[in-house]
Amino acid sequence: MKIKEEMKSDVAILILRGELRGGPETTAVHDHIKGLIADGVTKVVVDLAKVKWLNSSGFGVLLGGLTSLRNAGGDLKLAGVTERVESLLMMTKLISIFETFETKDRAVASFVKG
Amino acid sequence: MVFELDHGWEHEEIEFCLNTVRTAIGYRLAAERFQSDLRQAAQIQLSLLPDSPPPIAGYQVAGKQIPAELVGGDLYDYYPFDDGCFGVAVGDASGHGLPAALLVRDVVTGLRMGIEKELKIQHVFRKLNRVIHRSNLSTRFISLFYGELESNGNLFYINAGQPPPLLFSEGGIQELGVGGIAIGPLPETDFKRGFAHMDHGSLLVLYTDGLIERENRAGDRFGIQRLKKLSLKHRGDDPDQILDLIFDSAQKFGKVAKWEDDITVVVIKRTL
Repeated sequence: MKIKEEMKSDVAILILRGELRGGPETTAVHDHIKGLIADGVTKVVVDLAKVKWLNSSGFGVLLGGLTSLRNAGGDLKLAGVTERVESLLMMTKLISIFETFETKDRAVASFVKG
Repeated sequence: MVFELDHGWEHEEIEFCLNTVRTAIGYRLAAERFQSDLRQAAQIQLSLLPDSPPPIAGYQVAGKQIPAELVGGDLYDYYPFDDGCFGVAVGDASGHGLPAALLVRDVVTGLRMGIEKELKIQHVFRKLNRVIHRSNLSTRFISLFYGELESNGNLFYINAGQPPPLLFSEGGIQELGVGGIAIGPLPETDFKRGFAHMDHGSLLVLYTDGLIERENRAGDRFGIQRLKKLSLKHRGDDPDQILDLIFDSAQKFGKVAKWEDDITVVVIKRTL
């Protein structure tokens, strides 16, 4: 799992690559989000376009990030959600918690509008 | 222990060697203690799973679980009631290993305390969600299906984020998806109650996502269609046989000895 960070205005984009299946690499995502909050960044887009697969541990970490960011007055939005990942979001009905967008640009734009 | 040293050994060298041995033994003992604790945790978890399904007039029931690690994050349970009705639960905690197992223990205990005939199951789920949300880290959640089967074939259920159980009857295949979001992520949430009917001879297959997500080396998944085909083909068999066929088929499909995720399957057939 690799994490690349980009900033667009006050929105951080975390581009993930690989798999989110639990373990230290998954925890690193939550730690990265906590680091952003500590730096005062509370609007985060997680780009999953290059994530081959994420399991329930992966969803758990995204949920943890979402909760931390909302508690800090911000939000976490998902971009580049593949069909397979979306089907899992639908099944667990977690789709009702996460806002999802086709591209990271649209996700960033939604922060500006919202 | 007494031993003799030849000439040429320095005091520091002896101390270094002995300290190294002492550290290695210390690590070994700590690892053995950890393994022992883990085995005890596995025993506690096994004791929470039903040994065998209760005898229920008009139904045959079979269930099985394979954890990916020594302790697992899946659950299944049965709740027999006095009037011939019975409840069945299948769940899957996020992640696996010890943290998931602890969440499973909380939910099994909560359901056993909360589930009572005539008590609205939506109320139990709402309460369970509140308790789990408060008591867990924000990264943890559990998907849970609970259904109550009556002797006349009526089935009332709530599906909180589980893969929809499959009901095979003469009319076709029905997916039981009514319910709500998985338990834990939200402080407050509502659940809808679903209804289905099991005709004589119909079959209900409940499973966790570890089954349909099992991958082979080519990256293909076992998938829901394969499960449907297999269950349809063997609909006339006993639930025990169907259960074994499903696990055998998933094992052969993956071709690797280790299961990557916990897998639980419960098969229920209405016989009368």
